Amino acid sequence: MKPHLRLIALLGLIVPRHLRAGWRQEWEGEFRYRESQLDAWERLDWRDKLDLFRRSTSAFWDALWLFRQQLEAGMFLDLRYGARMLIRHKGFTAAAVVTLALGIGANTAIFSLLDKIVVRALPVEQPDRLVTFLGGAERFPLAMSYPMYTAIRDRVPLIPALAAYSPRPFSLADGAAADRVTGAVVSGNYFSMLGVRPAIGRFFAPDEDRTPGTHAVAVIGHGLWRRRFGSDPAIVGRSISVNARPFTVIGVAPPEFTGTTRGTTVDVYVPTVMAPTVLPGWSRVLDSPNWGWLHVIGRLAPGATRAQAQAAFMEVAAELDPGAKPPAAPDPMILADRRPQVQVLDGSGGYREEVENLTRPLQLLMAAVGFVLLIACANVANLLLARAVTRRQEIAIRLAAGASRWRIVRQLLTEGLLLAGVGGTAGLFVAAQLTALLTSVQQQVTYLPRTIDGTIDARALAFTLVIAIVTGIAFGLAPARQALSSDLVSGLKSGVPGRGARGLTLRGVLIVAQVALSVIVLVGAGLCLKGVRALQAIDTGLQPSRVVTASFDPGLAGYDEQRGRRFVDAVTRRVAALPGVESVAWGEIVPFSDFFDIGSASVEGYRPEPGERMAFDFNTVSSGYFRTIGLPLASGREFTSADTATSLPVVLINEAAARRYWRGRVPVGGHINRGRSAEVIGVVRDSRVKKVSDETKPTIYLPLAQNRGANMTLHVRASGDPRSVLSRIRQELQAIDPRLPAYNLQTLDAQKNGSLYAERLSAMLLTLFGALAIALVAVGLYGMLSYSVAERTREIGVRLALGATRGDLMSMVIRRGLVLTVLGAMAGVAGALAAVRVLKGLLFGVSPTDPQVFVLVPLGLAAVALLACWIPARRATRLNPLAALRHE
Amino acid sequence: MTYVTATILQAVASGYRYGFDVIDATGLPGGTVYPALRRLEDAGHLSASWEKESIARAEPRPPRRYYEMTRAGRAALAQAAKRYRLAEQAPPAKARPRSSRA
Repeated sequence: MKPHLRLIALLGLIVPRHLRAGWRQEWEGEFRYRESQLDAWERLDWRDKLDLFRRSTSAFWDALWLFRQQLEAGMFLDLRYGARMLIRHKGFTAAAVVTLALGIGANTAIFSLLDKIVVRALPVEQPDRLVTFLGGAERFPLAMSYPMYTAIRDRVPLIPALAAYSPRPFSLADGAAADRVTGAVVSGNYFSMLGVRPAIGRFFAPDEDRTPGTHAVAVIGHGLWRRRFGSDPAIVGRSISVNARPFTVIGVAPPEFTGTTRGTTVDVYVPTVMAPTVLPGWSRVLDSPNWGWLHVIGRLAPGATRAQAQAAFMEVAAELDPGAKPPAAPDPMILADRRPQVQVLDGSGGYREEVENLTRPLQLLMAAVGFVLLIACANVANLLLARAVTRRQEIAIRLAAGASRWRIVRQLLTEGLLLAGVGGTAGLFVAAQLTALLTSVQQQVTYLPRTIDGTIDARALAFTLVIAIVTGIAFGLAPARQALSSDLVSGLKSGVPGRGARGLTLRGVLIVAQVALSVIVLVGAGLCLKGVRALQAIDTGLQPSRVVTASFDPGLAGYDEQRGRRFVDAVTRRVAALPGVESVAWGEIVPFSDFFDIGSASVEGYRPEPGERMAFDFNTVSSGYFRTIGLPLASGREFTSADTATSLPVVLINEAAARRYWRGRVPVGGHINRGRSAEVIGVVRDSRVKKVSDETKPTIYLPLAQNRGANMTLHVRASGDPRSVLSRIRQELQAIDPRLPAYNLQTLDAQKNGSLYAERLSAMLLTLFGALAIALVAVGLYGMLSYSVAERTREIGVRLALGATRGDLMSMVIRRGLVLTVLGAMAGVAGALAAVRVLKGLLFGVSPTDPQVFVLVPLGLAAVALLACWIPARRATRLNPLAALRHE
Repeated sequence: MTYVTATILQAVASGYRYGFDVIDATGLPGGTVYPALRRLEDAGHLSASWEKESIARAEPRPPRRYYEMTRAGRAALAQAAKRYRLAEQAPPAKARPRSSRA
C-alpha cells in the first residue's frame, strides 16, 4: 500500500467506529484525486511522494476532531447515566458523599489553619530572600538598640537592606473613646525593604525617619481602617491620637499585609524616630546603646547565603562594639546586641515566636486529620468494591449487548469522578463550617493569633480533592476489573457470586487498615484529653474562680505618674464600693497571661556559684493582692497601707525563692538587693501563675506604693457571680475615663483556660476527629458485612436448610467482623506505640504509653464494631430459608 | 463563525462541493477544511451525501462526499459576509458538471 494511504488507514483507528469507513473513503478519495492530477505512481519523483505523505498527515487533525466530538457526546451520556445510578442507589451515595465530605472538609479546614499560621510566606516581594535574626541559642528575636541598628544598617554588604520594628501596644483615640490596638514602631525603610505597596496613600519617606520627634505620621493597617474608619477613602491626611499624641495618617497597608510577626495584626505603624514622643518613659530610647528593643528583618544580597550573612553580620557587630563578650549567663531579655552570637534564619514567614506554641499541635492535628482522610478514602473504596459485586451482572449484560470494554471503564470512571465531585462540594461546606467553628473558638479566647480568619485555603482543597478523585477512580474501576476479567457467561448467569466473603479480601484489608488508623487517632485523642484534664486539675495555688481582672496602661493615655496614681485610687475606691465586690487589689502581672518581668537580684547571705544566674520573676502588687487572688501567706505579713513610698523598702518572696536562696535560713527579716536593698517581710505560697504546666520560679513581689508598675491590672474578688461584677466594673471605668481603654476584662478562670488554648484545641479537635474515625469505621464495617450477607444469602439458605441455628449464623457474621477489628486494633496499637513519640513534650501529666488509654481505645472500638456487625448479623438470621435458597 | 469557516462556507456556496475541491479553491490544508466541513454539517449549515457507487466506479475512483448549502447556511454566510466582507475575497464561482452529482 502507498505510504499516504497506509497512514490514512492507520489514523482511521482514532475515528469512532461507526464513522470510520466513511472517513477513510473520503480521505482516500482526496488522495486519489491528488494522484490523478500528477502522474502514475511509479513515475512520480520522491518530492511528489513526500508531498502526498505530508498532506496525508493533516488527516490526523480531522480524525482527532471526530474523536473529541464522540468523547464529548459520550461523556454527557456517561454523566447522565452516572447521575441516575447515584440517585437510584441513595443509601450508597449518601454514605460515600458524607464520608468524603467529612474527610475533605476536615482536612481543608486544618490545612488552611496550618498554612496561615505556620507555612505561608509573608505577602511581600521575594519573601525567600528575607532573613530574621535570633539572639544566640535563644528562640527570641534579637533585640537591638537604635544606635546599633543605625550603625550596622548599611555596613553589611551581604544584607544590603535591613529594616527594624518593635511591636508595642498603642492607645488609639479618634473622638471620645480610646481603644487599645497593636502598634509597631518601624524604621523608615520598613515597607520599602519588604516591597509592600500601600492600599491607599503612601508609606514613610526617608526624611520622615531621620530627626527625632519631627514627623508625627502614621500608617494604619487595613483591618483597622475597615473596622474603625469604615474603609473611609478620606482617611489620608486625617488626624488620629496615638498614645494621646496627634498623628497624621499618611497611608493604609494592603489587606494581606499584617506585619512581620506571625500571629499578630499590626493596626498602627509609626516611624522609629517618634518612639521617644509616643512611648511614655522612653524619651532616651534612641540614644541608649544598651536598650535592646528593635527586631530586625533584612534582605540577602543576590547569591549570598544565610551562613555568610551571619558571619559578616557578627563581624560588623563585634567591630562596632569591641567590648562585647559572651556573657557568663545569657539573658534573653536584656542587652541582646552585646552578645556576638546571632542566628540568621529564613525570614520568608516573618518572626514566629507568637505562634511557636501552636505549630506542633497543628502539625499533630494535620497528621490526625490526614489519617481521617485515609479512613474516609478506605471507606469509599470499600463501598465501591462492595457495589462492584452487585454490578457484575449489569456490566456483563452491557458487554453482551456490544458495549466496548473501554466504554464500560469510562462509564465507571465517570461515576467515580461524579461521586468525588459531589463529595468535594459537600466537603467545601464542611470545611466552611469547621473553619467558622475554629474561628469562633479562637475569638472566645483572648490572646490568640488574630490572623486566623475564616477563609478556606484553595490549595488544601485542591489537594484533598485530588486524593478523593484518585480514590474514586482507583476503586470505581474495581467493578470493571472484576467484570472484565471474569467470563461473560458466569457474569450473566449470576450477578451475585456465592463466594468472596472468606479469607482476607481487599475489602477486609481496607477494614483492618481503617481500624488501625482510627486506633492511632483515638489513642492520640485519649492522651491529649487526659493531658488537658491533668493540666486543669493542677492546683495552681490560687483560687481563680471568682476573680475578675481589668488591665490599663495609663502611660499610653498620656497620664503622668501623679495622675496615674489618682486614677488607681479612684478606681479602687469606686470598684470596692460596688455591690458583690469582696476585695480589690492591683498587680502588674496577670496570672496565666504571657506577660512576665524577669530580672536578677542578689540575696543577702547567698553566694552564687560561678556562672550562676540569680534570675527572679518580679511582680509589683498592691496591698490586699494575695487575699484577692486567693494566694495564702506561708509566713510573715502582706503589704499594708503602712508600706509607703517613704517607709523602709520591703518585698515579699515565694516559697521557691526561699527554698533556693535561703536554704533553711529564715527569709523574713533578710534582705535582697535590686538597685537598692529591701527587707523581706513575708513568704507567700508557690503558685503557677504563668502556664499551669510550668514549674514555679523564684519570685519577688514589690509593693506598688514603693515601685511604679508600667501597666497595672485591677484584680477584683467577687462574692457571687463574677460576670455580673465584670459588667458593673466596665460601666464604672467608662464613667471614670472613657479615653483610657481597659483590656483583659475577664474572669481569671477564662484567662487560665485561654492559657491552655493550644492544648484544649488539640484535645477537642483530636476527640472530634477520633469520633469521626469511629463513625467511619462503623459505617465501613456495617457496609461491608451488609453486602457480605447479601452476597451469601443463598449459602445462608443452605445452612438454614441443613439445620444451622440462628445463633450459628449470628456468630458466623459477627466473627468475621470481629476478626478484622481485632487484627486492625492490634496493628493500630503497634502503630500508636510508634506514633506517640511525636506527642512527647506536648503531653502533661500523662505518659505517652498510658495503659488506660491503650486498653480503653481498642475495647471501645471493638464495642462499636460489635454494634456495626450486629445489625447485618441479625438480618442474616431473619432470612426465610426458602426465599434464601431461591435467591439469585 | 471564524473567518476560515466562513471562507469554506463561501467556497461551498460558490460551487466547490467536496473536500479536495474546497481545499484547492481556498488553499487551506486538509486538516483545517475537513473538520470545518464537519462542524458546518453538525451546525446545520451544510448537508452532506455520498455520491452513487456506480458513478464512482465508472470514473474509477472512490465515491465522493458532496456538501450542499442549507437555508441556515446561506443565512449564516450572509451574516458572515457582512462581517468579513467576503464578497470581495471569495474565490470565483465555478460551474460543476451536474452529472457527477448523485
